[in-house]
Amino acid sequence: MADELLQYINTSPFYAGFDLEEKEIRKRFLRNYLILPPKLREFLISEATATKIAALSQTFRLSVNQTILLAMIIRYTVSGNLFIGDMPAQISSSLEIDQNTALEIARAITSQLFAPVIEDIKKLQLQKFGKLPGSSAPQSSPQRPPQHIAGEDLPETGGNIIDLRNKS
Amino acid sequence: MLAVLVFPYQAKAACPLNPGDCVTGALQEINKILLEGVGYVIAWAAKTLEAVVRPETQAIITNTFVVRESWRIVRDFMNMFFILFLIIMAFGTIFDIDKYHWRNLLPYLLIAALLINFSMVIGEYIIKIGNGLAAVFLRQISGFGNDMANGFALGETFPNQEFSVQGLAMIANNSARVIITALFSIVFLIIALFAFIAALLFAVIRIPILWLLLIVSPIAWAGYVLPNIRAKTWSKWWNALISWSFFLPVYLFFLMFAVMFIRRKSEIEASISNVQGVSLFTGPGGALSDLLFYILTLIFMIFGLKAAYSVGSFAAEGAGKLMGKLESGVRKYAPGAAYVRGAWEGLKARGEEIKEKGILGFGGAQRAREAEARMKGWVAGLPGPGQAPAAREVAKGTIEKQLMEKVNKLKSQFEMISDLGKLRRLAFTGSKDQQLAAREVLRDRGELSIDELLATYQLYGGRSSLAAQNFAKNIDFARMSSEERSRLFNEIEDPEIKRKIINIRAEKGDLRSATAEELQRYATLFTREGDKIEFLNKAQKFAFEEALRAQVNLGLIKDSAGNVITDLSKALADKVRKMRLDDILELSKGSLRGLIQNPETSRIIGARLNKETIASLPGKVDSEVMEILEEVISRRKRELETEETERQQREAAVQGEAQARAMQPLVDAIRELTERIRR
Repeated sequence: MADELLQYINTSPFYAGFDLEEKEIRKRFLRNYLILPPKLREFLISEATATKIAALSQTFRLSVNQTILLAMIIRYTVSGNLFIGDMPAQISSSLEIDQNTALEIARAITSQLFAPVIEDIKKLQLQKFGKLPGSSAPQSSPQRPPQHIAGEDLPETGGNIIDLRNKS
Repeated sequence: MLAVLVFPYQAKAACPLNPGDCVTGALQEINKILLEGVGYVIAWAAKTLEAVVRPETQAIITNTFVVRESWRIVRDFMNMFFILFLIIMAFGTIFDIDKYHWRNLLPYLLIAALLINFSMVIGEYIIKIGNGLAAVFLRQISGFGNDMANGFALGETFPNQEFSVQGLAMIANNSARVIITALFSIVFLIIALFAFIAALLFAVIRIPILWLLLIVSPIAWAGYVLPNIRAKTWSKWWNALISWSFFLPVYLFFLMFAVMFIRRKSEIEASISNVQGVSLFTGPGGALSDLLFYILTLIFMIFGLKAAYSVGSFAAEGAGKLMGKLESGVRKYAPGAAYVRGAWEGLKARGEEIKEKGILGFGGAQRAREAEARMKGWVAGLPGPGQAPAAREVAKGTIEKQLMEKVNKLKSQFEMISDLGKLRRLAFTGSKDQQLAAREVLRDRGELSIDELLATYQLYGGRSSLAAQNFAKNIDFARMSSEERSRLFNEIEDPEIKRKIINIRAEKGDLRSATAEELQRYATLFTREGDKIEFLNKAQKFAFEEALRAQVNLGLIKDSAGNVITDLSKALADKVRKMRLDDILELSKGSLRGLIQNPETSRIIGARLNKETIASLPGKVDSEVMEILEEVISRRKRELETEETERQQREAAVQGEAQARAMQPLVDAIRELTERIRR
């Protein structure tokens, strides 16, 4: 029971790393959460999403901290704070894993995890960033121009990569 | 024309030598022919009328298959409209159109939906009542066709020949007399003919009209639901039904008089003949007395027709009033209204009544007031000069009751006024009753300022007045601002009103910054412990800790053994432990923050959290509350992580011990080998 709760808090995109984030960023997320489309709100909080992320982390042998970071990246993407095309690069840098593995994880996320809400995510991404990545899986590289990130909404270390590790 | 008529008369009847008599005879002959013809038609009309109004004939109104089938089709069709009415009602409620609000339409809808299926029976019943009454009168005048026909027959109408011969000796000109009487008789009989024809026509067309009314009766009942078409369908239908149903008995009632006059004519004449000194003209068989009989008969017949229709309309109005009462009855007791508004209002009223009067002879604010008054009486001493206090109270109560009745009557009239300016004029420049009634209306509409409310309270008589208390009780305090409520609370002295206001202030969060001492003071307005607790529980939502402290100070919190809890932190922990998570989430942010900052209560709340509850939180609360709750979740997470770390450490320790145990034989063997080598 307690294990389940802890796992849910660590893998749910809504809660993952909530206590690690800067207060202002968290506040902004909580406010923005209420204006997200209902399906995305449900996706972020759903136990099913948390379970799938936990399974993904097992598949790719991710540690607890890496899983938390991955769930946070998913939160930023779904809430429109991270360009979906930048997800592989963000995963690679945040989780400190090679780009190929990051790309595989990103593909798994978009094809499996995002499948039920992909249309809503696309709509939100288009609305926030004015474009979408290519029709295939994310093709972005870490050198993608910085304007893909809604910089003021997220802590960033420069470029389009969010430094999730160095937040307090 | 006279020549044409006179000559045959002369030739046929051996005209006397006097030409004057010849003319007279010719005129009488013409008169006879005309009157015979009219009399025949009257006789026919009277007999037909009798045939039409007979109960056997009238029975076809209600026993016609086609009518029943047609009514069924119309009823089924109209039943579909109830769905439309529900939709209209829904829109009326959504857009808050008072006329179409469910509160106002539901009783009508219920009555119509139920009674539309009985519309035929109801219509038939009304008609049968009419026919039954008609049958009563008809029995009294059975065979009236013959009486009327005979009564209006020629020979009976005017002075007979014998009378003419004797009487005419005194009249200078017989011809002139004959002409005058002929003219009168023709005019009279034509009027009688019209009266009969009209009565016959009405009686005949009444039947198809009533058929039609029965067939369309479901439309009338359906029309009852919507106020805008009610007058055109419902009211008109009832008017027509009642008018046409009761037309017949009322008409027959008047006809009964006419027939009685005709029938008793000979008896009256006989009695007059016994009286000495009666002139030939006015005596029995005299022209004037005959004429008077027939004029009276005609008056009854003609005005009977008019009166019949008017009485029918009166009856229709009566039916309208009856339905109005039925509707107000349904409004009070019928399901729907009763279920929703009624049940709620009823429960509230019962609760208020119990609060006021107590239950089974115990408790009740009234009892408390009486006790207070008694106590004051004892302390204050003797009553005023010449009057016992009870008498004074009774007199005052009667005056107030009268005032309230007057005001209520006026209020129901003023409620119709939509012009705010007019209402305000009445409220501030009219007579006292008008002012009070208009202010009641303005109060209900939320159009009185605080100053005006207070002035009206004083105008009624202030604290000592029951009317003032009633006025203040009906103020919608919930609609006011916190400051306005606070001002009214301070300025109105009546304890009951004060209690009402303070309860609303607690509910609305006006007391969020009140201290425990202030809350305690407010709580003392309530005499019963239960009311105090209820009030402080309301205040708790916005000032959790302070309200709880007040409860602790007042000794209102008890443990399961019934012992009073005096330790605030224990009371706090107990209280939070007993609260459901949803109740905790409903607390104000300030109260919630206070609970989260308290390690003990925070731990209790944290222990309530599981996967399901925290997954449901973002959907239940706003971002600010979520932010507060994340502190508890964070604390809970740290606890879980600590537990997890400890569990892992324990597992590692156990694993280490097992490994050590497994290695023991090898260690022992090495030790032994080392010993051997040394040796």
